[in-house]
Amino acid sequence: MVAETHAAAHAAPAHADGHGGHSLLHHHFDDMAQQRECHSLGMWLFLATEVMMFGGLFFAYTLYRMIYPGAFHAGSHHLNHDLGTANTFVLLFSSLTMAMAVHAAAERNKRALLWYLAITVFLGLAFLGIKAVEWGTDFKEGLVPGVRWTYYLEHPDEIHELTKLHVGTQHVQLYFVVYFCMTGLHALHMIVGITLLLVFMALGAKGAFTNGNDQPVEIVGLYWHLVDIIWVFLFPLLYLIGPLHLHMLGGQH
Amino acid sequence: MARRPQNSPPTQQVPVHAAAHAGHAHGHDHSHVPGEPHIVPVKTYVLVFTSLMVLLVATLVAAAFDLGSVNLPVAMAIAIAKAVIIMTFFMHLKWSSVMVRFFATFAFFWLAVLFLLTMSDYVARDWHTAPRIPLIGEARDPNPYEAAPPSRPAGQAPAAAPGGGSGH
Repeated sequence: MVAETHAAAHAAPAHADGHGGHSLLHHHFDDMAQQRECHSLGMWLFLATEVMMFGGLFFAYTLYRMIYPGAFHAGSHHLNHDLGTANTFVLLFSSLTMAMAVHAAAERNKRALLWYLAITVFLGLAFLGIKAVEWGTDFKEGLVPGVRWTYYLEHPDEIHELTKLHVGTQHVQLYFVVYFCMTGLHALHMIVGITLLLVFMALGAKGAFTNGNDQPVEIVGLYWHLVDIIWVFLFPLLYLIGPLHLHMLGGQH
Repeated sequence: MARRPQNSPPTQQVPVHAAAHAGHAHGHDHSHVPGEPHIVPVKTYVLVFTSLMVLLVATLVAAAFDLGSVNLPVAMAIAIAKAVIIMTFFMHLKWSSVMVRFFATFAFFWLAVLFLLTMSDYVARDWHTAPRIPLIGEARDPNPYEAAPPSRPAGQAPAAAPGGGSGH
């Protein structure tokens, strides 16, 4: 029997080495190496579906920016670049603390794990707080399509400027639809990530990840880093659209 | 680390185990024991974060200058560099198996397929050159996709309508 021989060959290292952590081996895996590999692979497969989901929004962004470059330029100017930069820093820093939490779990250092998870949660909340301030400003200025789109009613002079550049305010509105969809879906992922980290803190306080079972922290870290990567692309695309050039408007005629 | 939890004696690894799996696991890194977490030095993480900060500054500097049509490619190149660094080190792809790296890479390959095929359709069909919606106070462009207006003075030839109606 192939299976029997296989099992026998692995019995000694997997179960009889006196290492308590190996009771963490699920029965359908041969050994911890295979189990780790499968867990990583499964998470990366999920992350691939996340890339495709955000990819649809990135495609919408690309298409509408290609068709209405002037409107995207005008819309981008309404965003607060300083707050966007601050948020990029906060998220990149949270990726460092998340990586340090994974490191602490691998070293079975419960105290460090809990601290790094707590700092990561704090940074995640700081990101959402800054985002909420930005959205609040957008609402006050009347830049929320479908909810409060009054900015250009209150600034008719700017309509005139845009008209000279062949930019319609309805296309600036389109920019804000894309902006709110992309940052909204990203913020939803942040909320999910923060919730997961809070659960991990509660379990981690009981020692669930510092007994050799460190991989769940690594897996949740993969999710956190992917959400960070998405923001790395959102920031220049939404906030830092360069100055408008007339030749860019070719597609609008 | 100063505090080791109570229940973790140093790992005893049976040599046969390591030898049996040297073939498929974690290719180039011989110091790593299969089945155990790969512990990345803190120094590596700090260096990675430093390089991410340098790239963030590069993003802002590039955006401060008007590079014309090169603006977008430069911004995207820096963003891709950031993403690759995060995936390689923070997401441990450097120490992952070929299979995991393959999955991670192909996520972006499928994304490229989505962009290329869909965008080629949009570009080739000339949809984006369809007449603009007229702005406030602006005369309406003649719409080549609309049928000629039903009521026009008798004896006058219909306006030229390139591609009008028959093309679709």
